[in-house]
Amino acid sequence: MSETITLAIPSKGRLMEETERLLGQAGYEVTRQGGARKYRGQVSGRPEIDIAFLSASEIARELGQGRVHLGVTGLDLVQETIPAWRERVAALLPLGFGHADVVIAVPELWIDVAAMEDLDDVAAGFLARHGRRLRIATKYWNITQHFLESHGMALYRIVESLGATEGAPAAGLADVIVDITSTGSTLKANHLKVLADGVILRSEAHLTTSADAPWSAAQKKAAAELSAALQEVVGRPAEG
Amino acid sequence: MSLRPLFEAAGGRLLELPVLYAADPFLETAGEDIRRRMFVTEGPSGERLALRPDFTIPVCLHHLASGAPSGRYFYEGLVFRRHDRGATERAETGFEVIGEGERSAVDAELVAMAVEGVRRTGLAEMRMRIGDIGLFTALLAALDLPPAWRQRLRRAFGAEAKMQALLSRLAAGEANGARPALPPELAEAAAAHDAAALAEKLAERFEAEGYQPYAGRGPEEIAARFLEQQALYEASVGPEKVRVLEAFLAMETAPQALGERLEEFRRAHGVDLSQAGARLARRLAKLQRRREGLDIVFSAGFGRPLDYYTGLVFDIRERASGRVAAGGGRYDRLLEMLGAEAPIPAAGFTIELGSSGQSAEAAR
Repeated sequence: MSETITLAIPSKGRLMEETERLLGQAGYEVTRQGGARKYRGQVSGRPEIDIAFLSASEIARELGQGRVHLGVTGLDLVQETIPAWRERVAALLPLGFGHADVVIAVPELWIDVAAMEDLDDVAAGFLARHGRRLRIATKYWNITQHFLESHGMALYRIVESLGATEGAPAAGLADVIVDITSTGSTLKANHLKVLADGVILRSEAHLTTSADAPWSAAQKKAAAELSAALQEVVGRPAEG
Repeated sequence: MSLRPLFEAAGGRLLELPVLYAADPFLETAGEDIRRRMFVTEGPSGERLALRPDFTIPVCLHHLASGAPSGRYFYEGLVFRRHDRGATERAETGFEVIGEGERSAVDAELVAMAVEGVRRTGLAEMRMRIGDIGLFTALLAALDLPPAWRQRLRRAFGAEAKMQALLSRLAAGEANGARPALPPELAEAAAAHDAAALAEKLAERFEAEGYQPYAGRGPEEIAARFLEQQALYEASVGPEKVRVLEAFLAMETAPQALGERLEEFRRAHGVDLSQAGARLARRLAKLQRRREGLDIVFSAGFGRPLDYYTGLVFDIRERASGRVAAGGGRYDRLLEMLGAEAPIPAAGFTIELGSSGQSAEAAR
């Protein structure tokens, strides 16, 4: 059995930069084998760790399948991508970057809809009034369904949206949206407002530990050391 | 074991139904909640298809396609639902009566048939729970609640957590949270309770913001609901009525004691439900062919939170384990939602025959 652990980190953008910076501060300097184009890397002086560069959503999927031991990815993707994520994930350490909220937003001009219960009222009468169910555009199917279920709302349809979700209501493709937002400026530019109780999830990047990856004692030790070192730098306790 | 003799004796016709259906009828009637459990795939021209997640909608679609005014149908086969744990293929059988107007007679017949069916699957000790949204609707009318609250409460009927949340908010007098301020040009029309002016201002804004016309909720609908909500925010329900609602929802009684319990309820809370109660009691009386090994409880708060269930609902559980063995009810609104031009009375039940996973296990 292999004694190395695989740590998956984002392969591009700010998430990658922030992750490498934080790992560096914790004494885990990431090096790429054979230049920047490779999808595998190492940590100097830590032969027990393999780095896999993946997209943030692939990282969540691989964690869920137990094919990597640890990964850095957004909590939104962990919850969306991994079925029964609470059981598939052994630990979560918030890393203090990549902040964004998953929210439910409606057109600003829906002046009669301020909170989820208003939306529930509207959804209930929608079929009778418009001959179809209320439509929600999102790429977050699972998060949306769980959230609406927790509000006792069942009378709606999800329409899949893989980009520019915030434009869907004006284009007539959907009535409301569930999307990620960090500053709210995109929502505002599209004349959408977040419902008063419409923040579904406050997400940020997390060091996520897979429960299903094969774990030997040595691998557990290596993961615990990494997690402790990051925790020290971030100054926040792990969850879960 | 097959319940075919039982169902044929009741005039039912066995339907051999497809396994694969267009997904939309299921999605449009039951909402995303069912979708999450459905196996959906794509047909050759991109249409969404689903493995049947239940039999009721397939039976209704069959009935509508047949053009017959009424029909008695039964089925037996697998349904396919995604579960976090447990089997995804379950065998079910059931009986549906569509288009017969003698509602209380049909309901009584179905309840008796379901009990007999469950008994024939080998269950000796069972507990049946009966509910009826009609009595709750009568209570809401008697309490003289604002219409918007009446609708909210009616929708929460049968959804325990939702009902609890609504009631505690009503009790705490929090029905009237602060509303966000309106832009000035809208606020003026709103303050004057002028629906037409408000709708006109909204229409202008929609256009300015680049909304496709008629894409969804229109200015008139929004203006009307806004003003209705405003009235609601100015009204108050009060803890007294909430206590009455809570007492009603907690009421459980043997069916034959329903009249007595409603009389007690009237004395305690000053709300007279005897008219709706008497109608219901007459119907319950018909259900009560006593049977060894069967307890029947009328539970005032029991319902199904789907908008096509309109009257009596019931489930039958194994007494010791609480496992649901059968469930059914009256769904007079479903056929219209599936495309019928006028409401068609309909009711039925489903009996669980176990998962194929279990039988595979048993075979080993």
